[in-house]
Amino acid sequence: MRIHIRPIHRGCLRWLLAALLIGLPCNTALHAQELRPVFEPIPVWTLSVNGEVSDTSEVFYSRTLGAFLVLAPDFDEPVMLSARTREVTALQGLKLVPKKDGSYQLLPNAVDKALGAFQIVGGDVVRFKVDGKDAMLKKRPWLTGDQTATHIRAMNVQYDRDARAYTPDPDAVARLKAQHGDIHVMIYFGEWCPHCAKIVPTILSLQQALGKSDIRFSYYGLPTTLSDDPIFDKMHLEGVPTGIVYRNEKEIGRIYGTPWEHPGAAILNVLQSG
Amino acid sequence: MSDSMPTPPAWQRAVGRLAAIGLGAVLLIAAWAKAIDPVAFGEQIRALGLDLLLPAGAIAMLAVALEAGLGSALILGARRLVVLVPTGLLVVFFLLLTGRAWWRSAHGMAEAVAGCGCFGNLVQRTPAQAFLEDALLMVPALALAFLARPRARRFRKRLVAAGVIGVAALLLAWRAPSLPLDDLATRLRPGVSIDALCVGEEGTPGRVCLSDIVPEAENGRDWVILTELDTAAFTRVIPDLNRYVLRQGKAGVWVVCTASTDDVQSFMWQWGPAFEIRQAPPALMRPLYRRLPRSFEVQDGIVTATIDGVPPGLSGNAHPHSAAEGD
Repeated sequence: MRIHIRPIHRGCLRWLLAALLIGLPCNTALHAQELRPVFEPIPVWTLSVNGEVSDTSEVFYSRTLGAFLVLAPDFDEPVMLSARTREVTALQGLKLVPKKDGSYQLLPNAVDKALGAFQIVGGDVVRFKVDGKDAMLKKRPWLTGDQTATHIRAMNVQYDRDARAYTPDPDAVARLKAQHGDIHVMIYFGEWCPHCAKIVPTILSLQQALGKSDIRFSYYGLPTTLSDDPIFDKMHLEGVPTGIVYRNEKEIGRIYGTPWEHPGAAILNVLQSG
Repeated sequence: MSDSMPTPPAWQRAVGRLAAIGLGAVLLIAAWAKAIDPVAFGEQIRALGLDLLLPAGAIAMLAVALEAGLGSALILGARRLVVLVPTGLLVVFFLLLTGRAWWRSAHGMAEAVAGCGCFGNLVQRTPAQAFLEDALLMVPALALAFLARPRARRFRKRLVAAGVIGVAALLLAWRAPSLPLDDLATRLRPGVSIDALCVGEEGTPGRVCLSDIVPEAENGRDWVILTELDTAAFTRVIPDLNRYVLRQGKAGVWVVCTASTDDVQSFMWQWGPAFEIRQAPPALMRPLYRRLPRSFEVQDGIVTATIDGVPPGLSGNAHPHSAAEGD
């Protein structure tokens, strides 16, 4: 049996379902759910089942449970791996409620089915079995080289989620839309870099908000040892994230540090001073 | 023959004496800064590759003793060549170190943050600042200390006194790691704002402050634990920390480490933490501790208490705030 639990339950229907499942009025359920384990998406882990990469799988983490949740079409049910006990269990899909922000909430009384234990091999491979299938979670390499916003958001669910949660300053967006000419913003980032994890999603969000404006965005991922990529020295970069703003293919300014807290205003500032 | 030499004018004697006192004070303060955290000083010696003949820790101890001895000899007025020449060599040595760090940083060979130079790990300066400030503080004073050197009376007694101070500094450096001097030896102490604990120059890409790492601590009351993720003193309290965070029902505890993102992910699979882990650059974190783990309580962005280790209230049953107050 394959259970599809991806975002089919949205809005009030989701709350209604949750309320029905636990037999409580909708408003009580809303309050109580705040205290229940929430699985938040985590990027960079890829699932292989019987040696084949499962492209549509997703991995989540719950701080409350100290457990990882794997959703994959290869498994009949969601699979939970508890880091605190090393146990693998299958969860009843209907006990997981998808939330608007891409996370999942575990409802009480979820029925677990013990599937054994998982093993950590090296630091970045996790092996386990689900109904006789050999499953392996492996950290994928960091995004490096030329990247597009679409690809970054598809590969890094955390970036995508944070980009959706961020609302760019409407005034800055309007003023950036009013800019004309060949404007190009090149973003150098490191997917491994905690600062980039905060800032790049806001830039992705800004890019989306700008839509079809005259401002083009490009992204370039750098490795953990920045200078391993010759582009780092060639572009005289000093750290990540760094944005280089070009007008008519000529560099007019760079953005790094505190100004990234407001990417729209930061780009406007460069455009106005350049 | 020296009896026939004319007595230098009083102002020259005064300038020479004051310069010697000034230089001596600089050396004593520098010796103190290193003596209270000899481990960090030893790390700097090792990083510079100066531990060729002796272990870095031993060189650090001897350097502290020498610096304190020479500094106190100058303050006591012992301006003989036997004091001034080694002092001059020490000053040249410091300038070579800071000059080298500046050159390396300017050529992209080192991080642009200097912890070395005369004041050890206590003061954060860029390599350029370290070199220029050390040069300005020491070179003129050294030159002027040669001015109108008196025939020192009771020279031997002063030298013995300076030697005693040097030995005392050596003993302090030896015992310091086990003394409760963290607040003195590091930049992290009660009253400090987390947005003032930074690394890198203002307006440069390398500028990072503790408030950037844990922005949540700018509001409310939180605990921050500085640690290595694999150190036993930390891993053995992880289940207690998890329980504490879950009992609180909010984050409240932030673990700050220098581990790579890969290592953090491995840690999550190993331990299933309920607390959040934040990564900080080593240059930001190193001046905040002498030994890991070290923790601090922060209220609305201001450090209110520091703890050597993990607060017992978080790792056991006692209330964390009572633990902090007792520290």
